[in-house]
Amino acid sequence: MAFSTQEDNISQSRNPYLSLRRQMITVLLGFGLIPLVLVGVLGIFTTIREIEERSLNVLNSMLRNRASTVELFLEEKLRLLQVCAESHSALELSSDAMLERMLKEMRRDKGGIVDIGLIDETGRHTAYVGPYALRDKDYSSEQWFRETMVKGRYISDVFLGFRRFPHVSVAVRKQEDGKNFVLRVSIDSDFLTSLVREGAVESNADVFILNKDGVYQTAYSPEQKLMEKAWVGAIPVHSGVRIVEMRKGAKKFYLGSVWLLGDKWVLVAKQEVPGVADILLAYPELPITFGVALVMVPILALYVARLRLRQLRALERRHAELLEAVSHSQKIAAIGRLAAGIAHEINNPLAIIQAQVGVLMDTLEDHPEVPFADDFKARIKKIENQIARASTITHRLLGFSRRVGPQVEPVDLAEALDETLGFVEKEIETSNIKIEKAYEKDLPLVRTSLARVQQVFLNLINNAIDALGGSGGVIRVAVQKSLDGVEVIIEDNGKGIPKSDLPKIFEPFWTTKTGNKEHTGLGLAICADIMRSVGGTIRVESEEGKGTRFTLWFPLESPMV
Amino acid sequence: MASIRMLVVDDESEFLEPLLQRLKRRGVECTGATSGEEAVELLKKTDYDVAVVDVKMPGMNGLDLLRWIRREKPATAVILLTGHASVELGIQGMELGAFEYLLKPVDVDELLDVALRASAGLKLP
Amino acid sequence: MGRGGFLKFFRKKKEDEKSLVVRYQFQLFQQILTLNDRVLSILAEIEEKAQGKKPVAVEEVVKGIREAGMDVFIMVKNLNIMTEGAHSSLFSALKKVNQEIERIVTGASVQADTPLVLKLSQVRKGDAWLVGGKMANLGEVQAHDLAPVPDGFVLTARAFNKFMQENGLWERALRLETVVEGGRWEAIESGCDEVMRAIEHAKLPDEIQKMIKQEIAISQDTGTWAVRSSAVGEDTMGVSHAGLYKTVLDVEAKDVRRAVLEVIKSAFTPPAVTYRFEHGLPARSFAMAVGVLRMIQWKKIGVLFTRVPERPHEDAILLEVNSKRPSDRGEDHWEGEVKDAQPHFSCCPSLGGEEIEELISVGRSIEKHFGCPQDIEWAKDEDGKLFVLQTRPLFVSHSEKVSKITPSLQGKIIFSGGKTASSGIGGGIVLHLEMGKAVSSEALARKTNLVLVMRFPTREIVRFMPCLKAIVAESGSITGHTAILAREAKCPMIVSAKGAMEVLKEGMEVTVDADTCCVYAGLLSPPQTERTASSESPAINLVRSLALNLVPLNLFDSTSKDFTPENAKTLHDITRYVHEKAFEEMFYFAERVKDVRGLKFFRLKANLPLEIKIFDVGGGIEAKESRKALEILPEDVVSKPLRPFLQGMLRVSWQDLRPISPQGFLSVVGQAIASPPAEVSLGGSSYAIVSSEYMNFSTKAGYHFSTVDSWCGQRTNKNYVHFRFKGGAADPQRRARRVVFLRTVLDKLGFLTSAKGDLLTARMEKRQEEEMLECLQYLGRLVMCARQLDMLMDDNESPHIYAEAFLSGKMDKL
Repeated sequence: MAFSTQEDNISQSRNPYLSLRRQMITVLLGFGLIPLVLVGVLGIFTTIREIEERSLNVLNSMLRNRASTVELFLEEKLRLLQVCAESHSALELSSDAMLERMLKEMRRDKGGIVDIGLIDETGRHTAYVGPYALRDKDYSSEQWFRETMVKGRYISDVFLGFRRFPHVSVAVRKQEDGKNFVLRVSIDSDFLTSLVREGAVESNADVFILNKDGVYQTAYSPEQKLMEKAWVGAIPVHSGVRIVEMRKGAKKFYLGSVWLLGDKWVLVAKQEVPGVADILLAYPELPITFGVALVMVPILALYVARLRLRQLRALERRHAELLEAVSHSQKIAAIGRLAAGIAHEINNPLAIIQAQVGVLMDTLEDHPEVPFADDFKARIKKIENQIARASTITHRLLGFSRRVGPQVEPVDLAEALDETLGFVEKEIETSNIKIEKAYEKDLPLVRTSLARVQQVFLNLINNAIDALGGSGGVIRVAVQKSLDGVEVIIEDNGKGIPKSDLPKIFEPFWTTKTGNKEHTGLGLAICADIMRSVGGTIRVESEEGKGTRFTLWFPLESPMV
Repeated sequence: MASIRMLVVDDESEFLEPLLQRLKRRGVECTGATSGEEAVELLKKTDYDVAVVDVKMPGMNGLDLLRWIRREKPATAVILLTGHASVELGIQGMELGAFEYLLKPVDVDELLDVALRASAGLKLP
Repeated sequence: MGRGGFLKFFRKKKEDEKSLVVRYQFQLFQQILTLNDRVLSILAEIEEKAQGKKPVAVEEVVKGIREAGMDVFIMVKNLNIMTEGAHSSLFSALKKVNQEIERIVTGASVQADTPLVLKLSQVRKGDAWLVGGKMANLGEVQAHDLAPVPDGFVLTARAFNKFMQENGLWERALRLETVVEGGRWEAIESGCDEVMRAIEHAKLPDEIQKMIKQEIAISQDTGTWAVRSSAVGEDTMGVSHAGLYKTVLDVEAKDVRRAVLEVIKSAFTPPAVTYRFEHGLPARSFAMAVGVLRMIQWKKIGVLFTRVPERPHEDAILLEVNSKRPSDRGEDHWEGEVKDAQPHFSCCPSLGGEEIEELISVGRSIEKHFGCPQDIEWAKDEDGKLFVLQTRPLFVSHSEKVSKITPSLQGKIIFSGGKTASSGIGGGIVLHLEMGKAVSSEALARKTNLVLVMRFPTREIVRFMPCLKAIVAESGSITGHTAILAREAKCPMIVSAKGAMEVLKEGMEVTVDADTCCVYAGLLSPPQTERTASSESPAINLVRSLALNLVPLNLFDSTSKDFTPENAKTLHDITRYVHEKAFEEMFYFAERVKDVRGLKFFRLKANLPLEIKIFDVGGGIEAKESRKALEILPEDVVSKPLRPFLQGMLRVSWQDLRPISPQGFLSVVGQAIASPPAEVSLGGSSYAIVSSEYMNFSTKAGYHFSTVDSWCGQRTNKNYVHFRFKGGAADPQRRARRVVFLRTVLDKLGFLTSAKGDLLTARMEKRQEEEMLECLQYLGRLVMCARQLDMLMDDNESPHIYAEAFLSGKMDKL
């Protein structure tokens, strides 16, 4: 239990709240934000990963799907061609009608096959069915022709050829009687492209076919230029589906590839990898929730912190008030005890004074002719009053009330104030103090204890005299109606009370007159206690160097026995 | 002009003397004693209606004197007077037969009222 | 003044002497009333403080109690003066109560025959008030063979007292206490310094020194001693004083006295003094007993908590061990938890498994004996013997009860108003209590859920309070007897709840919240309210034990034969007794006064068939200058009670009041000498004693005899009206009917009535001034009307008819 000075207390009382507040907010924010951020980030990353995986899977299956479609198609056509070539003689095949029938067969429902032709060893069409004027063209030096002659079957890359439009030739060799023939169909590359693309529409992947050298065999999007090298470069032969990540500029994308027909062509699918921003845009719930939570947590933290602190402050204040009340009442009781100890001793001397003064009074009454008799009697009466007052105080302290008469009587506060001023007449005169009075007319009488009221007045007037030092000054007293009671003001233009002391002056034992051992610091405490016991109030206003004003308010009826 | 005869016993003569004077002026036949022993001597010689006795006295204190009076002079009513108040003393005094128990300082007229009441003859029927 | 003046003075004195008697009696009575009111207020305050809801300043309470004690003394004294000592046995009742109060306030009285020094073997737990907690506990352990303890002796609280007194240290200690109350640290430090220095230079009383020497010699021990503090109050639950006071070890026999002074000195260090202050322990009841024990040359020493404070339900102990190495270089120290059930061998390095088991078993048996977990200081000497050096209650955590303000109930409020006389919430079925209705205890005993709603509280219901869930009274005060009793019985009660009987009809189910003075429809389950934890505070306990001697009322039935001074056990009882007896004494005041010769009575000139003589003790009459000597008119009467009473009487124009029925008249004729109705002999005088707030009015006229005694002023608690009516001219039947009439009227007005034959007694107490004044007016009218009514009471219906007529104001002019 530390006893610190006032200054310590003040500075200490601020700081704990500040640092406590900081702590609370930090903790709350920490506990609120950290998990939030963790969960949020985790969520986003998980989502991204899932999305990526999904796209990969889709890419994978799509590639396989397309690859098999294309392969099947080409192989089918090759086979068909082979069957045709073998099941018919060259002569038969030279007939246009036969070729037309074959073309129809090849086309079936799909289309894409442009023409069909039979070419002899010399490289000349012996027969041709199709839209192009190719009858007399010489293919002997064409690569595909030579390859077909050698290999027996051949699928070409996309090339323009005599037709001057991109196409793919599918050709087979026919051997008859030592003579070689080539049966050939042409596939529209557009058809190939569409074949490749169909089925890939759902995914937004870009699907195309490249040859071993990385030359486009199909072209759909503007960046794909037929028969030109793709920017992705040649893709090494590999088995199965291979998906790699590639970067072009700021964009990242997956490049899936699967080799067709062994190592002839590679089916490529290029899919953009969605960035975080894209994902977030695609799934706005995630960032929105996160953002909202991110904003709410600090707000809540601040709010809760403030609320708790306010409660804490209120609790502490209440606690301090309670402690103060207890300590205050203990002090008041201490006064009582202190005084009771003294009261015993005082009664005897008081009795003596009373007796002696009484004799004086008796004597004067017996001799009214003595000069000054009336004056003396009046003064003696005053002394007797004061003795009665003193003994009431000591009796009260000892809990003994012999006085049967009403302790509460109608009191004219202005008169009581005047009388009190009369007690200290001499002192006022010698200190050159001027008294200004402002008593309202027709003041109601207040039912209260005259003795106690005068005790308060006397105390305040004495304080005022002290405040003025010895160098004169003004004491202004006023009595006026106020609410349903009477207000008494006692003010001086003396040295005033420093602001920091103002809240303490009514505390018992508090005093500035430390040099004076007899000054107990109880005067104002007793005044406050008396005002409370008569149901009134006491208020102080003061400015250093300017003066002090005490305002007392008395109810019309005192709540006393 | 029946008056009452009073004995006042208090060790502080500064209190006793003026009190006697005031009482005399009010027509009371009164005598003073500054100690319990002196009071006993006086009581042996004279009858008093009322004795006003201070409690705290050196030697024979007020309570002892009260006991003596109740034993030897029961017709004398005793009023206890004291500067110290305590319930134990009060009860003791009343149980020993005091008429009243008063705290100093007390107004002389009030004291006289009590004394008049204490002395025999003044009662409600 | 001169001769003439002297005579005049004396003649005046003679007159004054006569009135003195009356005035004196009245003054004594008035003082009783005033003091009774004040004492009841103080009692109510103390009772509230004993509830423990708020912190309590012991000094304030003690001051109040002392004031109350003095007030009660004056009340008892006055009563005895008034009645010429008829109740002198009340003094001894007061003495007993007072002694008990002083004993509680100043701690156990250390009488002259208590020993200065006790051997430890003579000490038991119950001696804590004499030898302090530490030594008492130790002595208990030894006496019940719970463990070996070092032998020794104790300097008791009386020794401490003697020491303080002989060295003039008490004043210093008390002065120090006031400095502590002042709260300034430097002052406390220097104050404590001063006291401690004074102790250093003080001397132990010779007697005590001799006894110390004796005890040391008897022990035949050449070893050293340990001198330990054992403050009264130390080491008790809630106020451990732990660590505050000194222990001096290894003291040679010749230095024991110095060591004792050291220990006593340690009681006045700033922390010690402020600790005691904060815990409400007054300096004058503080005592430092000192234990002088044989010093154990320990090899191992430590502390044993028989429970782990945070987990008191577990079977585990906390152990701390310090041991000296053989080489004496440094010490081994081990601290830790040991679970009962575990094998002990390995956990603590400096104690063997058996040693730990021994400690645990000793700890548990001590714990069992004292009934709560213990903090035990133990030591093992060179031979391995285990000693217990000290044991005290161990504070373990338990759920703190938080004080809550009664949260408001959810429900429909059907009535609100009045003041809280006793807090709490209670619900049940409404039962109205009308005065005059016999409250059968069987009916009430069967039910246990009643909410009593009544016009005004009477003490009779105390018997039923255990059956009542709540009480709502339309009048009454918080400091009244019934309120005090309700608080004691913890029965929620609201007083001054005007109009409650209208709203809360019999049979309704209601819930009464006395704290907020609201009554809810239906039975609501109240939220759990818990009491504050401060019931542990020694200050509150002090106030509680004081309250027990002040507040409970044993004498509540003034008609019972147990209403005697011997049965007065509390201050409340005594005030009740004085109050009642004072009323009895004053009731015939006027009657007695009229026989005092030489008193000057005022004669009232008014339009009444009575001659009224009034004696003013002060402030009751203000006669104008113009009046003839001692003649006054009704308007001169300023006595608060007499004024309305007179007004009531005057309202009845008696000339118009004629007997209606010839039979009634004949009946009167049959019983007495007849005369024309208008001149029915009224004869006699009525006497009244008045003051500004008091009246005692007695009429004996013809065949009637009535007395009214009343105090009516601003202090509700002092107000009362007591009324008696007896006699009558007609036959017993009519007289009986008249009684019924009177009772009916008086009941309705709110009096508590009782009748024996044709004597009717009515009482009304503790109402507000306006209410009283109104009733007094009715009473005035009633007294006038009643004279004639015998003759009107023809049949059994008449009382009720006329009662109606009276109350509706029709009686004045028939």
